[in-house]
Amino acid sequence: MAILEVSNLKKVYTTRLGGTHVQALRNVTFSVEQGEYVAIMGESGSGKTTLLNILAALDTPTSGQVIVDSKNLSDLKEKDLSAFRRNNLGFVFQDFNLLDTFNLQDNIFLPLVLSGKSYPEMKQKIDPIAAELGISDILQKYPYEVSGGQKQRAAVARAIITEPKLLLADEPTGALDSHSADGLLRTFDQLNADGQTVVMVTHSVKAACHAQRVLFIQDGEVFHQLYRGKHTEEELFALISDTLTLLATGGEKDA
Amino acid sequence: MRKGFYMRFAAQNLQKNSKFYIPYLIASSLTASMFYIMCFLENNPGLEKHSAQKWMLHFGAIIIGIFAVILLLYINSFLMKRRQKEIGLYNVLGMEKQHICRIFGWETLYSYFITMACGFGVGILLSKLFLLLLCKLTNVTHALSFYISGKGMGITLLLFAGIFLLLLVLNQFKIHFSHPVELLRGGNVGEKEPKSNWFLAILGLGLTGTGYYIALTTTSAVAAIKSFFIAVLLVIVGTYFLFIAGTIVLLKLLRKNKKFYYKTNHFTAVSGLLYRMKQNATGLASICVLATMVIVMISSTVSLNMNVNKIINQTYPHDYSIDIQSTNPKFFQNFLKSLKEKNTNHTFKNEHTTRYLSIQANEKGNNLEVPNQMEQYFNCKTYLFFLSAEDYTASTGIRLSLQDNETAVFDFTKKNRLPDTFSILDSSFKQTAALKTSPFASNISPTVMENAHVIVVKNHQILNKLQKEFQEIFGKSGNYLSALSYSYSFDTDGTDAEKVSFLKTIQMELSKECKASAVNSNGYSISSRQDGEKGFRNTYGGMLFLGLFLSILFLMATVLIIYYKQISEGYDDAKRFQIMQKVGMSQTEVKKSIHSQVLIVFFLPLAVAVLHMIVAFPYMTKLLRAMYLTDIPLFTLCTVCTVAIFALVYVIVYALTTHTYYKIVSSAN
Repeated sequence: MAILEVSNLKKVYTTRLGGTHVQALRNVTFSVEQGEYVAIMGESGSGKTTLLNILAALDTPTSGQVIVDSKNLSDLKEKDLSAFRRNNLGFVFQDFNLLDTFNLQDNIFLPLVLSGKSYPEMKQKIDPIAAELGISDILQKYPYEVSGGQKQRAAVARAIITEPKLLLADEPTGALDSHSADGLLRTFDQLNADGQTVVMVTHSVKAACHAQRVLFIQDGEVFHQLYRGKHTEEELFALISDTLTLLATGGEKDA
Repeated sequence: MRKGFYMRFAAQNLQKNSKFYIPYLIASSLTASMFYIMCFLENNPGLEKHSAQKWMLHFGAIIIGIFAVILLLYINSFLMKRRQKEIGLYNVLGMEKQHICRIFGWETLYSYFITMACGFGVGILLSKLFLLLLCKLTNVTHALSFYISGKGMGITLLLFAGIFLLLLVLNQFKIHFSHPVELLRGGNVGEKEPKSNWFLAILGLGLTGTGYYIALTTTSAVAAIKSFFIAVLLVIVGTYFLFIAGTIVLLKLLRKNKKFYYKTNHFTAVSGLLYRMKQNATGLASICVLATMVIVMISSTVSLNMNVNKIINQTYPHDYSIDIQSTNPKFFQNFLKSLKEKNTNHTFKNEHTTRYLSIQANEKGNNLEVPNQMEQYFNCKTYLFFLSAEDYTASTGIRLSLQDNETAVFDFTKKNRLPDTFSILDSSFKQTAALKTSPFASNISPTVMENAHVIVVKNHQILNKLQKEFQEIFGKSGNYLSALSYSYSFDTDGTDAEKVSFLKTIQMELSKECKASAVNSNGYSISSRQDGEKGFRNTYGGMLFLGLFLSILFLMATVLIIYYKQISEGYDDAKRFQIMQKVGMSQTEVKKSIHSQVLIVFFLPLAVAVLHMIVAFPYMTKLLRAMYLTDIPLFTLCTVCTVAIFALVYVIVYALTTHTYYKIVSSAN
């Protein structure tokens, strides 16, 4: 069953004074199956982040539709949207987006508190997740007291504590050193192995080759996709690199 | 680098940061102009030297001066915080610190010139207006002259040169000891969680509590003016500590309560407030203190002025009132006779004479103790005025029939009654009647009134006996102390000016008479309604003027602090706003949450100010009573109105600045 269906998505930005139109997404169609791990790749300005924002219901498309768990996002009202986002979607961002005013535990609790869960219930949920992510000892610390990798693991904990249908990650390794990035990617692998559906936007080849499927976006369209299939990580790495080279050199002419 | 580069650069900076600098320059200019106006009024040649008014204006100028330093320091620290990123950028782009310092030097110089130019412009224009206001309020008819005060300008130039130099030096230090990368990150350095400082919180609570206790337990306003001043200082310091440490301790306690804390509404509010309080505690405490001052000043000075006519009528029921105490029993009659003979062109109407024996004592149960040491005697709290029934009837027309040891008593305040039976010196008396009418035409001083009683005895024999007993305990000096006093009041016809000049005639006549009688032990005092009225209007009007003037200044500071607070919070909140939305709060939820936090932060100072006012109220009524204002309902009304108007202004400022705040928050989205 497809947990996420995106069809004919189009997004046009109009500058404030009217004049220029910028087409961020031209015509994007793809779907993600339950339990899949999908990476979306593309250069800066290719429309990745716009796509992710629309998937997250933080932005609305000019035309086309997004169906998450057989619910059409454009049918939901603003009030229901945030509850839907809270219950069905988890986010991991490049810059962590942790609130400085909360310690890590409270940051992780945030979506649960918003849903009106009680403290014992939340505590029960956080313990196994924190143990799995290796942040049990630093839950009482504040974001500015811990390293980038630890911050990102806390952000992951926040994203998955609601048991979302879909985990969306926007350049999750972008602000991490290679050691922390490897750790985080292993975490994603583990989560996916446990059945979590993951959609990750990235331009790191290393991050992308952890996925089962890689979508390439250029100039607002899905340009190509690669399945991992039986390829090893190294082979997938080479394939992705080749595709990116193609995109950078002659891709535009072919499109 | 090209010539004039720094100058142009500095000018550009001011322009670029106009959102911050325009309010800053407006504030500094207004403060400068108000300081100039105060100096101008104080140095006005039309003002009498060493008058209460001159002293009040001088006091006002000092307050404005101190205030200017604090206000500009506060705004400067805000501006520097906001411009950290900019300074870091210059540094990274290759400017040396000395270059940046030079730019700041020029900026400060520009600010100084703009402040002085605008300050003097506005100050000179408005000084005429304030001059007229002062004349109107103090009822001065000979108009004080309008001029441009060179001395005032000089002092203002010097004061602000000093302030700006101080700011410049502080900023140079800041720039010198900073690292470019830290500066570049600017406000985004992880805001450390505030520590709960129990010591400071408890100290704040203790200081405020002690201040409140002193204010509430003070019984006599005049005697305790010093202790009340201490109470005010305690409460001010306590308020700062409570805002800085107390709020954080309280919020942290709330956070420890898991059941309370992990609720949708409380969760973001408590942590958000914790963060806000850390940044704004000083600003909020300042608003609170300023608001309290404005409310106290306006409500008391306005009610004094609204009641000034009543106060004058009560204090001076007659045009003149003369008190004479002399060991020569004929002295008063002789004086009056010669006064009337020499001034046949003046009428003597509504004459009223009271003859009495005045004794001070300490109440010890039923015994009214009269100490035999001069110093102790004059420190006695209870004032007793003994009259014979005959003299009482002569003054009031009320007939009394009393036995030898019986008295009829008039108590000036209902609260303090004499015991039913009491002994004084070697006599003891029994109260048989409570009198409703005072034998005196005019009110006695409010400070004396609290413990003053008129005691009417049967006849002159008893009064004489008392007089003798009193005289004996002092020996020789008892001669004078035990002499009978005459209180004489009357009205005349004529204009106010004539009446004032007649006062001088009476004074001369009396002092001449004293010399002629060759008795050293004559004491007298004269008061005239017209002369007293001038004094009252002068003092009360001057106080109202000062109150209004300072209130304008304080209100301006309040508005400014609020404005800067809103702007700085707007920038900080924008980021939080975004994150919360991404994590699953709807836009309306986020707005509601932020709005309620802003509201609490905003109205907390006002609420505390009102609380301070409520606690100060009983003391204020006592203080006003000492200033002859007894109309407590009027003062209550004035206070309520002042609070209401102040709250209204506050809400308007809030609404206007909130607009700016939301613009900042949503533009970042």
